[in-house]
Amino acid sequence: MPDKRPFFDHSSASRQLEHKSEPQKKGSTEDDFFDWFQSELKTMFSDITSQTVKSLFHEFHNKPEALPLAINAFLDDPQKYQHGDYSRKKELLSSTHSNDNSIYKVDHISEKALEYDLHSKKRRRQLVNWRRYVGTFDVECWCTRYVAGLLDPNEKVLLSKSQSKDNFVHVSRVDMSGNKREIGRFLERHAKIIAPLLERHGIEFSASLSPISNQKLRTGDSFYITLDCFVTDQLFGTRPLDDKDLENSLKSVQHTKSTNSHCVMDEGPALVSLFKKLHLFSDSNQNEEAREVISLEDSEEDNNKKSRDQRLEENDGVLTMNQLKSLYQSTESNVEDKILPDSVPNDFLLELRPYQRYGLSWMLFREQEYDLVGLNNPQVTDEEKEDFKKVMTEISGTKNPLWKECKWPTWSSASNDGICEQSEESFYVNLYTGSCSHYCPMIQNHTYGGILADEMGLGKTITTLALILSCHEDKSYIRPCRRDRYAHKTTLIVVPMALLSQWESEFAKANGNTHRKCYIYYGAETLGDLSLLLCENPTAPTVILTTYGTVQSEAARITKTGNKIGLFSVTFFRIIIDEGHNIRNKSAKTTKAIHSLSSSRKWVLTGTPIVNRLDDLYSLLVFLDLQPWAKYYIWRRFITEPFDQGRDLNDAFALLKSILDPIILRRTKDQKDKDGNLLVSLPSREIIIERLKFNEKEEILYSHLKAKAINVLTENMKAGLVLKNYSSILTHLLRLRQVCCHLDLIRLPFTDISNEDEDLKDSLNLMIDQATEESCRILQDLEKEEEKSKLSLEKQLAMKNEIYQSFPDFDDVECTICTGPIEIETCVITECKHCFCLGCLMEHFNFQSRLHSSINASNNLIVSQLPEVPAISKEVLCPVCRHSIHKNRLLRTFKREFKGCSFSKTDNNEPYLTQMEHMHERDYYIRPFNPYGKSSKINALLSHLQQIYEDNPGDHVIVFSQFTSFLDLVERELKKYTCNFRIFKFDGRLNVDQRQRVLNEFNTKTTDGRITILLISLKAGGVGLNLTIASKAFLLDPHWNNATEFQAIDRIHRVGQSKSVKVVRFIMEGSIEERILKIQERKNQLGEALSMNDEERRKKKVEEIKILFAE
Amino acid sequence: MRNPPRTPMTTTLNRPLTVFLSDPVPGITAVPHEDNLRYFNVTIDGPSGSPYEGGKFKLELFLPDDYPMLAPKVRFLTKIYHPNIDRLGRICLDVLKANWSPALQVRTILLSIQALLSSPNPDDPLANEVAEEWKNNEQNAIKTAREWTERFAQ
Repeated sequence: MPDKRPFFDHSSASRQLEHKSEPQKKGSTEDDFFDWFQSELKTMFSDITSQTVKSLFHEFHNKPEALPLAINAFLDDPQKYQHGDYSRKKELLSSTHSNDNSIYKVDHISEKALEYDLHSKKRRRQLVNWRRYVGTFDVECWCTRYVAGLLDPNEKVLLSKSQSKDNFVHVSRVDMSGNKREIGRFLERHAKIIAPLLERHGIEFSASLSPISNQKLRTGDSFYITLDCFVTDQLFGTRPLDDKDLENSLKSVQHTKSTNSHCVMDEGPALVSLFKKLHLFSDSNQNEEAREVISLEDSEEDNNKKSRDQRLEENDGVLTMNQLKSLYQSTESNVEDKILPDSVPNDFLLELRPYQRYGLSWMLFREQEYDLVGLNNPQVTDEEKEDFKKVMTEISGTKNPLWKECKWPTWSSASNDGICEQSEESFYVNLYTGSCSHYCPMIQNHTYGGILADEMGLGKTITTLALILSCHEDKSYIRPCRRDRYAHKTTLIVVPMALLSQWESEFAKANGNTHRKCYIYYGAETLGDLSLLLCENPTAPTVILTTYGTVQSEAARITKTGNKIGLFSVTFFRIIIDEGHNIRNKSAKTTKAIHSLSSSRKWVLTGTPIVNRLDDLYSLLVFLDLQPWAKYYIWRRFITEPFDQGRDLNDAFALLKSILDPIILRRTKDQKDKDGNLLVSLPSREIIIERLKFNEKEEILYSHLKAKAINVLTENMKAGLVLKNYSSILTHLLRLRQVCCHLDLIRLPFTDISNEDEDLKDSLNLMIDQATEESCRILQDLEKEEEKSKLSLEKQLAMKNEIYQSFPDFDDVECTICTGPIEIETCVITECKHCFCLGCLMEHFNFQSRLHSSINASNNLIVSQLPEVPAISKEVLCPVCRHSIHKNRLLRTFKREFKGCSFSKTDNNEPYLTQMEHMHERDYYIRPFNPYGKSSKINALLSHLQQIYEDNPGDHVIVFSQFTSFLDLVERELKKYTCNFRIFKFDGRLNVDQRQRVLNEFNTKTTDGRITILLISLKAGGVGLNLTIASKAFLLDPHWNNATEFQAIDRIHRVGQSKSVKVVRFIMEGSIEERILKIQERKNQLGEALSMNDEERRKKKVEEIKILFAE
Repeated sequence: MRNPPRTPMTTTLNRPLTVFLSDPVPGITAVPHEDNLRYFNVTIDGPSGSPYEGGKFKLELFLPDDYPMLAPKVRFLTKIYHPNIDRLGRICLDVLKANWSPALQVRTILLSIQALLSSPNPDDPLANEVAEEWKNNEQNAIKTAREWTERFAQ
């Protein structure tokens, strides 16, 4: 038996129409007649009132065909026969969503009802103007009683629905004597779809037996029914639906959803499923999608076995990585099928890239500035412009995404009857309610604006400025006689504070018209009524820049005082929010404040419209006031819920896509233009991980703190309190991370640092302080010991004099270890006055200490197993004379520079020798060597910077750290070399002016060859800044989240960067930092941050901690 | 101001060779292996006045990864009768073990080995039987050494 019969037997269909004879009047008395009349009507119109029945009966009872006439009349004008409480709306509702339960309130009429149902169907036919065949498919049924022989293939059978809540479709035969007997029922998967539709107006079925090889049917056997489906004009409403209807239908959907029992499918979805089965949905994609939906739902059957609540909890509204990915992919705008001509802005001093010009056109289009699209584009003739204008006006509305187009089957005309006046090729079905329409329902576009979601670095700022300068005021605005509060010339731009100055300078760079001004509305200049400045003023500023913080604090003030002040006192021409994902949390104060700003056009700029949940997007739609999606219950019903519960995923996905498509423009760096070139080609990027070794002091303190931390952890593990004491464990981790950077960070008051790590804000407690005190003590002890072992001052002086005498000009000094000449900058001199390269001698020290430790470790081993190991001695000997030497007792030489800045090199803590130095007019001077003065990281950074200074004088470098206090230490260290470096620092403590000044100075080139260094705290400067003047970056410490680091790297690796970018990440070998790297890798692999709820996330954190301390 | 992250090895690898070329030691040659610059073929002429006079002794010399922090590894390839050199050619010499210092050069090591041939030290033996013979019957030992030199080191 084939699943589907490809062709339809038309003759049988038409035969069926004459199949049943006219109903006979039952009963002889008028009462009997009324009973029959009433039950007939009630079968058809479930909630018809007896009042209505009575009046209908009264009017038609003595006419020959009373019932058909009554039905006709009732359908034509129901209100006429309704008295009092029945509104038309309710009637309509009930006719489209007839309540299954109420139809069969009366149990005893079951057999009759079936018959009546057939009758009424028949009768309904008379009211139908036309009907159209839409398709055929086979339905598998199972036999409910023994049927022997005589099964005529193509025999018509009757379908009826059971009265109970069970979703049965009965298949009945009519025997010769006109009696009806059930022979079988639909399998449930079919019944689910067909049952609700049996009662529906506008859909008709004709069923016949498929030929069966076996002439006998036993109970439980399966057989097939060929089901022909027809659509009649009753399916279609009389008028196209508007937005109101949409909302109503949404509400009704919600209503029926909640009242119906689970097993019965709603009519709407049933109709949609039927159409899907018939492959009516027009384009092939749709079909694929429809199939996908089915397969998706099937595969999730297993999931359904879990309780729904549980799944809800698991999902928590957070998208999985894959969902997010495909969502992003689907929002990517395809460059090839662009329809708009490029535009070139007026008064614009910067050159726009082609895709930016397209972006400008799109933005103008979204603002319905059709005259401006194609601005200054010589390739577009005026005629073409007119054409575009027409097209644009047409497509300005968006297709209501709840509706899908259905194609009429073209090969079915023979079986259509009635006069089919509908010549359209397709009709539209509401996927949720099942309503149908001949016309494409449109959502009118009332939103001026949208989301520009180009990937970071593609120049959203530039494109937006081009828009502002091309269309700087509301031309359609006619000034009313009365003063109003519409700032029709002013665009408000809300940006994160760090970007304030960048926007200002970009505006200054781009603006080619001196009448256009940019004001910064921030800090002291806020408050008051802006309407004087903006509304009446002919020289009103074109752009007002402000920050999220300003908006929020003004909003807060307004809720207190009730007066509309400042930004809220006027309606702006346009509002643009930069880094728009800042308002993703719909209940955050800032978000609410932004939502209550008013303007006639609104734009969101963001590289990440969805950060981790779909509701992130919702908040943006609310800002844009995109109706009806900005209503939360609609958004929840159609987007959030399906995604949360994982049902109808593809439909919801397609819907989301069609909501976003018109309002979002997103291009990525990987996209290619129509010539196949990348939109943006960036220079290469190299990221190097440089592993550094702890020096001894760091090692000691690190292992102390590590032991401590492991101790705390294991105790908590045993007690099962890891999560409870999570913050204290984190604090220990923080300490370890600090030691990796600089020992002095340990000594800083803890509160200073905790501000830098969000997770730790509330984690101060005594235990930690004790631990800190303890480590400070260890540090002090170490230093004391160091002090003890140092050379005495007299000894130092004596040695210096000797050295000055024996090496008068420091030429020709050779390092006996590497046998190369020694440079003054890298020379160390031992107590026994032998010179070595610093590196060579340090290697010697390290090798010796390694040897000692390995011998200590293998004390118990038999010596013969280590034949190569030299004699055990704690001391390190001079390679030349075997005199005992010590790291703390070395001297170093420095080149004396006869520039003014040479003395700035003097370490603050050893000023006592400078006077002596002056007496010797040599080209070098000597200092005691301080092996642990700087942290290993600072040392490494210095040597890199020195290399850059030699190789690329005048270069610009940025240095990132998470710890501003560490940056302070780095700054102090670097400031000792002011003749080589210019140093700037950018962190959260700067105010706007200071930030601007720092950035300005950093961006100026030097001529004296000094390299310019910008120290940036990862948190304050990780996003938004454009620092392409630098091509080298150093990340001093790893962040938990890899993406944060990449964001930081993108400060220099972005549009405008001409050189290849080199990034060095410092990692302390064998420390927690290496573990952090591991965790980063893990995160990258799993994409897990996105797919878990808090509980799971916490569990993962515990696992991460285990990784951190794993041996 | 700078701590160069500089490994001594990179600068010293070729130095032993250049030192030899610029300042050759009479009676000693060292040629690096073609495909491994850390590996040298060394010959030492038996010092005059010693039982090894007239012999040409082949040695192999290898610079380990940690050189110059660690001493080079040297071994006689030619059979030799010497109290401080065992049958496998291993050499008992303080500067090759405990007294190694990174300031020592390959050149100094080879000179020390040459000196060891001139003055065997049976009090710090490696080949015990040879050392015994050397102590008890020096004439005989020297004779054997001379014979071995003639037999193996030509």
